[in-house]
Amino acid sequence: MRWWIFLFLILLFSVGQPAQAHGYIVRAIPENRAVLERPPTRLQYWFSEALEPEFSSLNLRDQNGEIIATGGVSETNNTLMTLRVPNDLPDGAYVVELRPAFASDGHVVAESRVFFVGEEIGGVAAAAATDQALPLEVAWKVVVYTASLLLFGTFTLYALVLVPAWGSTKYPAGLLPSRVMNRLNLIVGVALTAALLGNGFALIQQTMVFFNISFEQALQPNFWSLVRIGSRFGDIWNARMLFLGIIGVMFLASLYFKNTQPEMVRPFWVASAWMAALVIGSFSVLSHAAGSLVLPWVGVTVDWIHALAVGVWIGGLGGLVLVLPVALQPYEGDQRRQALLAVLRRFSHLAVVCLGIVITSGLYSASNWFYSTAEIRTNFGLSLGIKVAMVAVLIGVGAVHHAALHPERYARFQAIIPHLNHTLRLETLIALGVLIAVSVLSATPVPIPEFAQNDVETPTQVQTVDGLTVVLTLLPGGPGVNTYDTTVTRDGVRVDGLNVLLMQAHPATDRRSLPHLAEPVENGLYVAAGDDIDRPGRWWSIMDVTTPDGEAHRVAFDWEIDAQAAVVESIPPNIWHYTTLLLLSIVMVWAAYPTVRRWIHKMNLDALSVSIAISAVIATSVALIIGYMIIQNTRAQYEETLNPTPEVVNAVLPTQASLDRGEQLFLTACDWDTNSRDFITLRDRLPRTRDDELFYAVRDGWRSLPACAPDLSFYQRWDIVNYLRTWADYEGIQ
Amino acid sequence: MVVLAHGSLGYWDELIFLGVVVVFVMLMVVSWIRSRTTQPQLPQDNQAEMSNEPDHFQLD
Repeated sequence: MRWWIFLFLILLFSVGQPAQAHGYIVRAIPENRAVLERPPTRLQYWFSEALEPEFSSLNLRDQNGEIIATGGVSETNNTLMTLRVPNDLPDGAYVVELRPAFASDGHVVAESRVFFVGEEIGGVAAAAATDQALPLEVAWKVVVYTASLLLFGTFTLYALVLVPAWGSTKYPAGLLPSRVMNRLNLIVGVALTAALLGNGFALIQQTMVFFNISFEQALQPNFWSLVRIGSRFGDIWNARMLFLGIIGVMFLASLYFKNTQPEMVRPFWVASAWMAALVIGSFSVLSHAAGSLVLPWVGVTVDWIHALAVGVWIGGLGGLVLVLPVALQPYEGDQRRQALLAVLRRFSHLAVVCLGIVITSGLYSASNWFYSTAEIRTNFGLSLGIKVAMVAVLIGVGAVHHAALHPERYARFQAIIPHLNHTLRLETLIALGVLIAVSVLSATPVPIPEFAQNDVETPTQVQTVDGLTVVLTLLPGGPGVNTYDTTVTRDGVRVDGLNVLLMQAHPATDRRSLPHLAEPVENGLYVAAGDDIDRPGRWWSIMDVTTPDGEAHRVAFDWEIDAQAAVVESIPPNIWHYTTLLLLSIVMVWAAYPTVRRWIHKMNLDALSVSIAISAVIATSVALIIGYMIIQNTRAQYEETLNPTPEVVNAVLPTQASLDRGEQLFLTACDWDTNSRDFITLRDRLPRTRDDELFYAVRDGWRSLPACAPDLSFYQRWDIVNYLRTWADYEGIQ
Repeated sequence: MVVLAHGSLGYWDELIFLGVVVVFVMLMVVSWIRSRTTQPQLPQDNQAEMSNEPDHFQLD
């Protein structure tokens, strides 16, 4: 596809409500349909966003359909689902049932994965997660979105359009005639009731999804109250109900005071707009913008700005169409035309500003989900396309209205003015269609980007030392947090009661972690975890296994860590994100310009003050940039001082054989008294001493310790260094 | 005290969320007080007939 078609689709798809849907698996161990020589020790599935631990489940079934193990969300990482696989799993096919509940929006996705131990078996298939929207969810979203946007739109319409265009001080209760205020009250009353009922239904629907139960069961308080108090969805639901409740109180107060203290009506209406903005914000916090891999807080903020602009535009349009028949009832002919034009000119200006915000913020949101044309060809892309096509029609109708209101520039559109009432109704109907499309879209899963679908083999190695067979698996095996699973067998039988110490080393930078004491889980499995592997490249896992009778064995593994194996937790913004954010900022500044200009006029600026202000801004900016650069430079220098690049790099993997050679060489080629003060000092310093320093000590001597034999080879010296490290005592350092 | 049981946006999301709510509640209160104490600039009642400019039409 040509780039300009892609650009056009992105532009087209980005108009309207931002994308909202659920997350996806970014890394799976084992991969779907993997054929494994031996059973895995655990199953791990990393997701693109946080999960609800209480409402997510993971089952492992054998090929007879029996559940043989269950798992859940990791206690230390809420984006990871994990399951301990039972020991000695026989050869066969295994089905993993996943039911993650996403914290960002409460969506639950049911899917299954398959893996085989031994060889692949035909007829066993995984079930992919559905990418269809749930009808009940769409239903409540249509109601709640429409009602909330209408609420916000009506409040802003009142404050920004109706009062300035039609207001009069002879109507103290709201500055508008009672017939208009009554209609506005009716709109707010109905919208508020619909929002409250729709939100109540949302809780029941969410309960059905979380517990996988029927509607009747979900109505029981013991179910929905758990969702209300025990999930992120419930937290935001509570907050939204509180905001709607506050709007309700202010609305009732405006009705209560309209006869006794009519001047109180307008303050309650103006203040309610802020609370309605928070109601709309509560959708953004629960949207998938919160689950975006790119700057989630920016995503939520842009989503909110987008939704507010939609509220002013589409919600305000709905309110206007419902008010116009009543407001213009007494008028005919030219008076009716003047009254209509007074509000439409103001609303049209507002709509144009909002449209600019909607397009630019929509562009930003789309750039979170579309990375190639492949994503456009998904159900999500289709839903977005349908919605955007409807928005395009809406914009077309709005553009005709805008032209009709500016006869000085578009004289031929004047013929529309007598029919504006009808065309405005048409525009509102289209807007309603857009809101339905928005609700469908928000319940449709986002496309999984191609970079999140790369299957990378999990690093596993087997070493046999003195009859002990040690299998070490790094999960997921990329830079970041990893689980180190070790199984030890002797003659095919799992060995318990071992003491397993594991250390990760990066020879190129001469850095090594502190040793991890692996926790014995059961029957020969020892588990540790850490974030020691922090970059791709060559790494060593150095393991000391001690049997209950004190017999020590060294096992060492040499890895090539692949950056692709890292779990994708975030991705940096690209040029699209920066460009669309810049465009959005420009539109926002343009929107705020009239207000800012009024403030500037009030400031009584003179040349000197302006010069000082500009100089201060420039000086502050320069100081901030220089300060940032100094901090970065200092940090880099500190890191280099702390961990300088080694001049000599350890070239010998510290295996048991290397240790044996090193010990022999140490005894024969190094005249070091192990009881001397300097050797004891060196020994005590070993946990903090780098390999290259030990290498120099062996080659050149250290304090009173003489250099080892000069005819030692480069590799022999490293054998001695590896042996010297076995003297290290890490107790008290961990 | 954990007010919101999630943290899916990071350790500070409860704080940011509540901060935004507090700011908007303050803005709500300020706008209520300003609307209570000041009237918008509208044409006077006795000029009603004269005030029907393109951007303003006083409804009866």
